[in-house]
Formats: sequence, C-alpha cells, structure tokens
Amino acid sequence: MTTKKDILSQLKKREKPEVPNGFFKGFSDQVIDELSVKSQVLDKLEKAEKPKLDKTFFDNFGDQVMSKIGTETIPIKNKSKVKYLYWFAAAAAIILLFLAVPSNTDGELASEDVYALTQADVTLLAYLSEEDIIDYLVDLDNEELVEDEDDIFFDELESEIYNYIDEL
Amino acid sequence: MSLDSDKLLIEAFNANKELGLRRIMEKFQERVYWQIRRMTMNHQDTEDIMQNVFIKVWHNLPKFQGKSALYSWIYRIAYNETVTFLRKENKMKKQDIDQPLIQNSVIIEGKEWSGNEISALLKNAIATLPEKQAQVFELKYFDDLKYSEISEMLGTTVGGLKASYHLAVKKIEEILKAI
Repeated sequence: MTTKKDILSQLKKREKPEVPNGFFKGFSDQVIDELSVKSQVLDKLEKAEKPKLDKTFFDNFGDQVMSKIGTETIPIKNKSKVKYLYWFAAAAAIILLFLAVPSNTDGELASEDVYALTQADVTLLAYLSEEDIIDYLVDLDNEELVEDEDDIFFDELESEIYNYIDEL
Repeated sequence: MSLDSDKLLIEAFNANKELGLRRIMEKFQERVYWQIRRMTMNHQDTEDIMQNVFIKVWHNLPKFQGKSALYSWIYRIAYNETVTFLRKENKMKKQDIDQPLIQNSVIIEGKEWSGNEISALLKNAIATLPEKQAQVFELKYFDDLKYSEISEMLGTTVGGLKASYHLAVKKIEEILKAI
C-alpha cells in the first residue's frame, strides 16, 4: 500500500506560470495607490494636462545654471552694510574710550562725563562715516564751541514763528 | 532611502561642486519646475525662478544641515523664491498664461465653479497647508507620483505620507466647501 507521502513524491509539479516582469516589485505600490484617499470634491475635478515643454529644456538647464553661476558677481547684501555700521559703532566706542581714559584720572566727575558721551552718541555715530566721527570727536574736544550759522538761522526762525503765533 | 541618496548627493557636491550640483539638478529639476510652473502659469518666469533656486542651492548647500530631506529644502527655496517673484510681478500680466490646472466646472455645495475659479481656489487652499502636507499633496495629486516614489524623495514612510495626504485632502475639501 502506498502512503500519501509516496504519492506526492511521485507527482511532478509543473513550473509556476510566468508573471510579468516587475509584478511583485510594483504590486504593493499599486495596492496602496488604489487605496487612495477619497474626496467628494477633488474626485470630481479633471486635471488639465501639463503644458507642453521643449524636450531639450531639462538637458540644457544645468548648463544654463552653471554659466550663470560662473558669471555671477556676488552683490553686496544689506547685511554687509549693517556689518559696516557695527564696525563703525565699535570703532567709535573704542575711540571714545581712549579719549575718556585720561580724563578718568580726575575722579568721579570725569566718569560721569564718559557716561554722558557714550550713551548719547554711540548710536548716532554708527551711522556716520569715519571722517564725520573724527570731526565730531574733534568738536567735542574743543572747549570753545562755535555756534553754527544754520543754528542761528533756525533759532531766529523759531522765535519769529512763536511771535507770529502770539500775535494770532 | 532618500536620506542616503541625499547624503550621496551632498558628498558629490562637496567633492566637486559643479558635478554635485548637476546631479542635484538632474534629480530634482523636473519636480521643481512643475511646482513653480503651477504657481507662475508660464514657462519664462518658471525658468528664471528655477535658475535662481539652483543658484541659491549652490550658495547655501554648505549650510544645509540635513534635518529635512534635500528635496524638502529645495521645495522651500522654490516656494519662497516663487512667492517673492510673484509679489514683485503682481500687476504685470504675462502673455503666455497656461490653461487653468482644472479643466472642468464643478458644483460644490450647490454652487457652480468654473475651471478657472476652482483652480484659483485650489491653489489658495494649498497655500494654507503646512509645508509637508502641501509637498505631499502636490506630488501625489498633480504629479501623480506613487507613495513609494514620494517616500524616496522625502525620506518619509509610506504610512506617514498617506496620513499627510489624507489630512491635506480633508483640509482642502473643508476650505472649498466653506467658500
């Protein structure tokens, strides 16, 4: 009597039928994409075909970018200008410190002078050119301050306006 | 995985900037192109913007920290560059305007919208999405990529992508229904 096992061993199995190339590789993707999210609105929309594009466009695009990079001159960015301002502010602060140190030997009063100088002027100095800063410092150092002609003009103008208002 | 191929691209760039950038462009240029063109609706602007995008990639890639996928980073540059460009050019209408993204009219909540109108609404709705969802939506809905392909680009699992796409669709639907 032949056992079941013997029968099976006598059978010659056919080879599996062929499956299209890449079927199993793409199967999971296909199923997942089939299980796409349903939308009452989006499913009604018919997307327009993409506009036609010159076939060589992408082939040449890399060369275009590389040539543009090659000829590109890097513009000075606003950030750099801010950097310059920082440098001026730093330079002004250092110069002020140097000017302040000798007067510091006079004691407390001198220290107060230094404080008044830095607090009032560092921000303003940051926006001035180096020459302006030097002129400014020279002016500060000068004990005999000469009143500017423009200042006199504006003072006069101001008093005239007040007079006019009073008359009204 | 995307992050591995990103790493290779960045290594290639570090070894030889020009060759590296060329490889990056070859990989992403088409996706970036259509992403921009859907916003500009014409070829010439798209080309100009895309050149600027890859010039920015050239200058800034050394600072790229690899916290996101390279494509996500480029997508963000492209998006910002396009928005800036469109703001500048806002009032200048170009001659060669593409057909609207949607070609049929549709009735939503009893109101009929033309293809033009629904295209504009759709673009505005996408603009409100978080960046990741917008990316996934564009790649899936407009570019018809498979999740596995998007996963390769963004370095996100297929499950994560499906979740993002699902959320994006829901949000867009809510926005369109609310109008």
